[in-house]
Amino acid sequence: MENVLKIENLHVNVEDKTILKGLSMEVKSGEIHAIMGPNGNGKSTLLQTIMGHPKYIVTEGSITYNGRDVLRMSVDERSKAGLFLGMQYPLEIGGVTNSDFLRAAINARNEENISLFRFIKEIEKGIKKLEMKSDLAHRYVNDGFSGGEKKRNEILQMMMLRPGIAMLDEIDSGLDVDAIKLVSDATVEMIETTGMGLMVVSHYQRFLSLLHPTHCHVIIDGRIVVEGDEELVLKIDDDGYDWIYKELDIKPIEKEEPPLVFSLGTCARNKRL
Amino acid sequence: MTEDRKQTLTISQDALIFIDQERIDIDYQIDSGTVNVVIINDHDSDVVISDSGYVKSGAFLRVTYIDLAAGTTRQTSEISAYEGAQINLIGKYLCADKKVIRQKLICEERHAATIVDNSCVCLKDATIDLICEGTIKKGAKGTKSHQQSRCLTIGDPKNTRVEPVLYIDENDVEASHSLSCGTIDDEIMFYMNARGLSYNDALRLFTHSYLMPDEELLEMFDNKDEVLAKLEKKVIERYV
Repeated sequence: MENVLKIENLHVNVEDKTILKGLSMEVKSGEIHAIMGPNGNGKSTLLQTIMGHPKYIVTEGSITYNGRDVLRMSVDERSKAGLFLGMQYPLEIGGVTNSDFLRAAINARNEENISLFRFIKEIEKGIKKLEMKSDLAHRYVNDGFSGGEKKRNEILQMMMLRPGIAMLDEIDSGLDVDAIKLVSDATVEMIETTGMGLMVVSHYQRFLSLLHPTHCHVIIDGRIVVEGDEELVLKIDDDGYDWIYKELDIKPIEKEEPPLVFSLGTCARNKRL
Repeated sequence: MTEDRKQTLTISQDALIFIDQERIDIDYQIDSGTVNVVIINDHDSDVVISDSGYVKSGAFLRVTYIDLAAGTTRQTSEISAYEGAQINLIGKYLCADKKVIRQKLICEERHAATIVDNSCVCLKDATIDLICEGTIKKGAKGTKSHQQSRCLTIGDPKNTRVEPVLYIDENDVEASHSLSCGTIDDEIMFYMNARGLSYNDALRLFTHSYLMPDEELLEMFDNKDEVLAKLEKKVIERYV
């Protein structure tokens, strides 16, 4: 069965500020969509909104997955339906082992619980493929993991949960060259064997060149302004985004700088009394 | 309280203890080797536990409390570690009514080590009052005293009091404490939801993970599987 994620005219607010301003796209099984654009222009907002983070409020538009209204689903229902978000900053869950976490997640989406034997076989296969530490299953989720280990753990979860459409949010940041290759190989294998569709946010051509995106979308100021294929990824890597700003006469949203904090001095006396 | 409702035990080797009286006094006398003690309380009425004792030079004592009791538990522990000895204390508490727990581990001499790892789940309308104290005495150079406590509250967090205490009376030592107490953080809940776990699934997972012991803790006991199955049933029964 072909999975289809359809986003139409999506408008999203975060804390009363409009971030997405009418975004439409469609992702199908086996397709790889690179989502690019300068920081703070809506890439992560798009993925978080699809997954249902409560901070992101949809004010207009629709998201459907295989014809079902995603916006009416709770976050766990979206996951069980087949959506997966590999987080930019995976969270630590102290006291819960990876093994218990993953088994619970697998069992939550299946009518029958996975047998311990099959689970161990699958997690060991994933650990080996991603060259992770062998005691991973017994360690608490992301607790004390390095940045790279956390990102690999997201991929391991994706491999175990077998989503229909996966979204990876800057999964390559914090990964060294070898780890990027491992992660991209595992992702491509998932796409080839399960027909998974992929949306991937990345700033780096290295990761995208290993994935070979079938589509590329550039988001600026909450809208998709340019679309293309892998060649567009290469052009952006060579030329940046300036040519888009000039051609379309648009400006990106500048990332707000935090206010400067400086000392007004001290009211204490310099001299001893 | 009549004597027949009281259990008194002296421990010097591995032991698996099921509390079936209203009061239990345990005296640890660990002179050498490694001793593993697991104390399970699933008594339905109120229970008073008092354990104390010593671990002598170079010996290792690991005590695991698994308390799934429906009633009130009052527990007072005070164990001393002498030169080069180590005490690991693992506490797993499911609080359905009231628990008052006082843990005190003392590094008496050089190179002793005490490590505490508490996990608590405090159900709705339940109260937990846990004070975990690590003491390093004068002259106990090169000792270690570490403790961490996690407490998941399902009801009102105001009913939860968990206090780490360290008394250090020597230089050249290692000591630390960490504590987390409260309901599940919203971002963690989102992360768990995003993996397909509902709010109740997440609570159940936390409860299970906090309370079920590692199999390795029961490895030396012949009836390990039976005990684990019994605990699992109890955790689910108590929680659900």
